[in-house]
Amino acid sequence: MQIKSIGVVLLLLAILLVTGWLNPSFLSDENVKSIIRWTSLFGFISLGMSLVIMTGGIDLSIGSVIALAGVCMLMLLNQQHVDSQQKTKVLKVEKVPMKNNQLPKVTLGTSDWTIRTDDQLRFVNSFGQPVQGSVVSVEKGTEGISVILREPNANFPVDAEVQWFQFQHRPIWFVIPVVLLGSALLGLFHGYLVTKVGLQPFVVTMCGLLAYRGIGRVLAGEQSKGLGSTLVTIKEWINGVSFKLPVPFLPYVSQGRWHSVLWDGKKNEAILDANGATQSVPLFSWIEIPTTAVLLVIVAMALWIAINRSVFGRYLMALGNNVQAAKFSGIATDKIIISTYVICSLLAGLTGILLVFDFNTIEPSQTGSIYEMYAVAAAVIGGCSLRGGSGSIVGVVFGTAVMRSLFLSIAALSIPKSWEFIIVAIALMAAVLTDEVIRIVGNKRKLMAQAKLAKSGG
Amino acid sequence: MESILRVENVTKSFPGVKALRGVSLHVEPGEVLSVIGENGAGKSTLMKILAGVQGQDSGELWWKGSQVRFANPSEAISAGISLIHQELNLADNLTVAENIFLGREPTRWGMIQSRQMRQRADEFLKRVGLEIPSSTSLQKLSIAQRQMVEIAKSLSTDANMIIMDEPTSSLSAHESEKLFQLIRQLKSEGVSIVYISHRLAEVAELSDRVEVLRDGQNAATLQKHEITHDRMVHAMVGRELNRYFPHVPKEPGEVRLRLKDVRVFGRAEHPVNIEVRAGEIVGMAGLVGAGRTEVLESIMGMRPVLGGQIQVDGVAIPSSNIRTSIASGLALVPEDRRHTGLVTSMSVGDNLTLASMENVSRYGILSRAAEQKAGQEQVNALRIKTPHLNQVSAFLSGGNQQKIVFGKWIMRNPKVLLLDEPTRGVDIGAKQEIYGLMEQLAQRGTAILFVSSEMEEILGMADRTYVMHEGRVKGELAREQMTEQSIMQLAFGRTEATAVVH
Repeated sequence: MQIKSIGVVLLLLAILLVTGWLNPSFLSDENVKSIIRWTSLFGFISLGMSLVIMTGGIDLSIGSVIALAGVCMLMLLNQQHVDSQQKTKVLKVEKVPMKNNQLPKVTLGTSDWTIRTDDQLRFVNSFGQPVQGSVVSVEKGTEGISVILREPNANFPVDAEVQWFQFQHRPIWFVIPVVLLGSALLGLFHGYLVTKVGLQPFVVTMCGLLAYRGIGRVLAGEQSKGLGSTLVTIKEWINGVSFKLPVPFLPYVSQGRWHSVLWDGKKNEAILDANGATQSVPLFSWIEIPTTAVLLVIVAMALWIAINRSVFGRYLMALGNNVQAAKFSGIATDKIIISTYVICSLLAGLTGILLVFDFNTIEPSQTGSIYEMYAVAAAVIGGCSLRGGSGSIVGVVFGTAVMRSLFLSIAALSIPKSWEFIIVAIALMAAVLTDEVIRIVGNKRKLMAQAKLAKSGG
Repeated sequence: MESILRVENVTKSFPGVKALRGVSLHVEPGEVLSVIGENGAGKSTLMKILAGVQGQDSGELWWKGSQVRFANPSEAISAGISLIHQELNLADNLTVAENIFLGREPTRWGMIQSRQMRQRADEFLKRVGLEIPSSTSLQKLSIAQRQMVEIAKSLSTDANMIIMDEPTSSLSAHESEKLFQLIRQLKSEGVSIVYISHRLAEVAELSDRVEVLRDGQNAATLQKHEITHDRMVHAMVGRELNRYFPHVPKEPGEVRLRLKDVRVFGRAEHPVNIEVRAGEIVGMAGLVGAGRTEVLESIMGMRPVLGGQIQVDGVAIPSSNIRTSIASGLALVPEDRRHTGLVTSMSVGDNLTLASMENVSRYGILSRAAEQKAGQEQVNALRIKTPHLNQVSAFLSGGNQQKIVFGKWIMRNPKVLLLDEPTRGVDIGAKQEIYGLMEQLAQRGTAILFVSSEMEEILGMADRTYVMHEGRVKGELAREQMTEQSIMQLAFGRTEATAVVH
């Protein structure tokens, strides 16, 4: 790990600990999970952006690609409920406990319906409005099919006639690759314009910024698009817990114990629970790690190898520093530059998909807006120079974490939201200044070493 | 007459190194004093102290009879000392007049008096013999003309002493001659010139006196009658260079590189025909701008070729593709090391392997051990002075940087090595090492074609020389036909009976 990356890690720790000191609940298991979740969601675009920045370019279109990818994904999915033209009677309605809730369980007077999750049932009786329910799960019993419905508070009439609407959508294994491919093509387009046509990256991707959001809005007809309450399984798989990571000492911090020990000097005072018994503080917190985070780690590891251990990375660094010398060394600089734009847009598209699952809805005019700036900020905090030719993957991931932690800590400390950008700007400026100071000091040292070398070498 | 400038026992240290360890010299009015020395001898530091860019640690400066210490360049300029940097400090987007009076514009009520400024600029241009209107935009000027503008600028500050740092490094012989005339004229007007150059021939031609620095100390002072090439080299290096040019002519092998009627983009009207045989070192002489670099770059596929054929070992290679050229066994050490030769912010090792990735990687993943081995091999073979392979190459001296660029290509074992001004900005010790290297490669059967503006280099190293003039190969000279005169005649476009004329 580069020294620079260590600096970012220390900065992150400082933010976490200072906020945790002022508000111990900031480091509660739930909140730490939330920091990880947000970092994961924003990490992909930061990584993509950092690659482009390493070539000396910039990609301002990220946020719009996210929105467009989200809209396209939902339109491609084309979810709809189709009337099966079949009707039956309700036999029984009861409440069953499920997911901390009492959900209605309806037994139907038929046994040959192939009802599945996310299908809808419409209950019609002679009085009042029809009531709709969407299916959570299905059980086949002796008396007929029982379905559990999502609506805990709805009243489903027992004597009603039930219409069955089948939920249909294009398969997700088709939609996701198409969206990713489309995003990659946008990147190919950017890269082509930058290298072969010779336009400036700023201009090319700024046009992208405007155009893609515009296209997204037109396609969506200015309507927000969403998953609604469908595709719950995959949603839960992506946002849900893939494993639990033990973090030592965290409970000590998050329960405020370190306060009393370090600050108030009450070293030996035990914390008592409501019954007056001594509460023991566990050594570990088990933090739930979402699948998104696992995915980010995989992508980051792949990129780390690409940058630090592969020919691609060596060429990327060479051309980022001196594109002429790289060309003169026989490096296919255009190919490398184009591929960074492709990766960047691809990761933006991926982020769009993940946001659909996480936010559930896409607001074509809002979602992803100014995310490109968050990505630039994370890349810069992570040690990338906008001049190109330097940067570290580990640093960028932690840079993203720094950005997200800042936003979350502002909320945790009840600082008015209006201060958000000001504080982030100050932090960003401080990071860049520190880096510059370190660089100057480092250069001086190197110069001294160089001078010594010149002296001894003659 | 009293010296206009006396430097007494000046020292200057930088962290870890003593750049000047007590240097003394004096400059007489109307004298050309050349200061020579290897890179790192302390010339630049001394000049920076004279021009007020840096202050000395100890020692005294006496200017026109009184002791001075310049806090900044403008104090030196107003005292009458002007420094012309090797890389000219002019603004491309301004006119000549605006450049001459930059920061000193004649004004009235805060408005620039353009007409007055142009008139005065014209006078100075006339004085330096530059016949262009001062309203010309600087970007239309050649390097030589810009040099003249710099001198006019110095004169406009009423300089009594002008320090010129490598003024001819990018001038052709003809342009240099014009500069020398101007220097002689300035001299007759009583202006003192401190002349810094690596080109010993012109130092010998121009100087009244030569001050040789070595390791931050005065190594020798040569009076007019003592100025010879050998004495200067001897004083600079501190040892005899008995075999300055190690070249041994030998029987060349098969033709490795052949250019058949190649039409270079921009100079398409003159087809170029060139042959270089295995083990042969072929020079390419000519004035700056004669199209030599363009020919080398066309061979490498760096610029479009509009016709003809380039063959390596008898096989035609596709033109205008750097990568196929490299794959066919061609390599070019370009003229501009810092912009096209090296990635200066990358390490020595990374630069060395940059063109040979396929040898140090598998399935696109680098092998550190292989890189280390390949890099260390070149560092040892070329005696690149670096503490380790991870040293950032920007911190190495010019000579060592040039060796890295050589090493990068030698690693590929090229069939044909193209060199563009291989020893530019390299000190004399490294120069000799580079000549030795060229000889070694030739003995291994590499065909070498090298462009050089240094006559001694061509005469000393080449088995054969092509001479270019305004985009065409004007003639070809065998080793026994090569003289300074025969080359210059062709370079200036005159044909000569003894030469094979194309």
